[in-house]
Amino acid sequence: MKSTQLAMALLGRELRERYLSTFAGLAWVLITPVMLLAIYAFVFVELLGARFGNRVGGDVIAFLALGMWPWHAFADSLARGTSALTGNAALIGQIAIPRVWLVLVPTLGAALIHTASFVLVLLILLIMGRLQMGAGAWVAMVAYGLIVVNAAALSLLLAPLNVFFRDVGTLLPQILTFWMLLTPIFFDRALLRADLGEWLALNPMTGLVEALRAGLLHDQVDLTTLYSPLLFTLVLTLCSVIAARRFLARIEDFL
Amino acid sequence: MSADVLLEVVGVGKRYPRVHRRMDRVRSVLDAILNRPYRAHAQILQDIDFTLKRGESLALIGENGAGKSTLLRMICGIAEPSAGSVRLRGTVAPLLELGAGFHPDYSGRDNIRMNALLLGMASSEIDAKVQQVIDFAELGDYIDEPVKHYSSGMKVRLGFAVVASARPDLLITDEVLAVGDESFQKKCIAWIEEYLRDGGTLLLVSHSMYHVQKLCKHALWLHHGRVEAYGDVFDVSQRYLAWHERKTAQRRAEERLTMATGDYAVSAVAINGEDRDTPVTLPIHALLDVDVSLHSADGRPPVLAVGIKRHDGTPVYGVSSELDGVAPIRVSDQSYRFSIRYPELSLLPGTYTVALHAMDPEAIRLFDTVERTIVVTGRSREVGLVRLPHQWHRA
Repeated sequence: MKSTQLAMALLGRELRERYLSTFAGLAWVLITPVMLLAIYAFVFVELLGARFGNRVGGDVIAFLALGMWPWHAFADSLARGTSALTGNAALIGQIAIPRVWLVLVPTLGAALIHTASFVLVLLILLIMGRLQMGAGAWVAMVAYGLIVVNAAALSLLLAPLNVFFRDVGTLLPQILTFWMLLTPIFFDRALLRADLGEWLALNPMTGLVEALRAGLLHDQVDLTTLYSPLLFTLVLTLCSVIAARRFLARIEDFL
Repeated sequence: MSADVLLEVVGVGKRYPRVHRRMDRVRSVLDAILNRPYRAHAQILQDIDFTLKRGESLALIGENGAGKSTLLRMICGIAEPSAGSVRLRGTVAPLLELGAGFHPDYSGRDNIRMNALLLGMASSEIDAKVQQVIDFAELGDYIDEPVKHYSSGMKVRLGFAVVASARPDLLITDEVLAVGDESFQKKCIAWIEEYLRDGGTLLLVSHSMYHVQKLCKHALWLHHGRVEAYGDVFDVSQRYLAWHERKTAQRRAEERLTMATGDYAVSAVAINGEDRDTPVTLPIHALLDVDVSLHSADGRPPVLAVGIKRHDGTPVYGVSSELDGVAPIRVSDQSYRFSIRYPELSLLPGTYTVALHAMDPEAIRLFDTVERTIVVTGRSREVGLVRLPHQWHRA
């Protein structure tokens, strides 16, 4: 009970810290997605006249939004989690605080903010009539949940490795950019060469983003698309927990 | 671990990996990943054993770098032992560093809540005690200001106030009391004494032997990461102080040799056999033996001048080996020794300084001076500095 209260207090502080000293405060959670949607609409639809297959106009925005928001949630959560231990080096050397929370709190804090923002985007798209809220929405929710779990698991693995070698934190933005380009966010895999599309299917984020899109755009309920991402998430989480138990005990020696 | 034992430290050791060179870091990380001891390491602590029963108070003493803070960090759960085990049966509240755990951008009130949660207090308990903490810390309206605007003393007050409200089974403090102002120090000490009377357990790190002897019944002296002495606080702290004085005297003598302005320097002094730089007490009319070693860079025999003055600087008596036509005893090529005895010291009770001056063989230039304090004791209503031999005649 006391541990839960401490975790909640740390999470509350993490959320407050992100908007501390800003004029709009937590309102940024609402402002950011609206601004971004407007920017995407202007750049991709008006300026570039982008189209994915037979998708044009608002459908392009919906297609992009359903790829970009989950990706940003994943990438930002992972980046914050990975730097959590090096960023709190002084604190780790001063007080006894469960280190696993030091990693998970910023990860989940970022995920929470992006999720709130995503929910608002979904509402806007729903009002625009671009989404179908049927059983497929549940599949999309599971896919989104798995994306967040993957971010948390990878953070648990990378945060101590970043203490051992700071190169991990330096390399991560480049890796995330490359990973984003290998994920069908700005393109439709169905429109690619078949062999290239098969290779991209090996990326676990591909299955999750596509399942999420299929669920929300076409109300598609095909649980088999989630099998391999689910297996990947389970294996990754197991490995991360085992590694974190071993590594987190030693990180103070390297800070 | 028996029921009355609160803390048991068994065979604890701590090694930190050497990580400055790239290959050492790679090796150490590999050792960490494979869960084996570091090959390239610095041994900070070794074979530490002690137990702390409920209601006891133990002081950790030792020089800077002896490993005291590292040991505390392992007891608090901040660092993991490389060897042995730390077993704690109860709650612990550490005051290790100034403002530890405080977020500078948050107010004192916000930080009270977070610090109390970190100490294991429940939200309801914190709500009930917030005002008590604010009152104890004496921060007034500052309690709603960001902690980054606090002075070091204010941070200590807030940290101590939170710990005091938590009433832990084991209280650990590491020199933090030295930071606060005197009145708050007294308040903290009074609180710790009450806490100990109520059955609390204390682990204190301090360089102040006054605080150590006032607050603790036992002491553990750490020296180069090992237990040098463990037992009654007075025995251990006096052994530590004696060692410290010997070390300081030795260092001063070495510094004197290297810092002396010329070729001749006083390298050692013993007053009635006491070679430490501490006041020597002797009764009126007692024997005073002064043994002085002189360093001579060119090997020629130096001259020693000896002066006695009252503590306020008033000269009493001075003489030199050149005046008395005395040559020093040659100890080695560059070392000489003088011994001078005052068989019946006629100084009246009071504090005096014995000044020893190293001079060149021609007794022209003074190169070095060392002073020692003597305290003459006795019952006398006579006035002045010395008792002059005298006789009364009745016409």
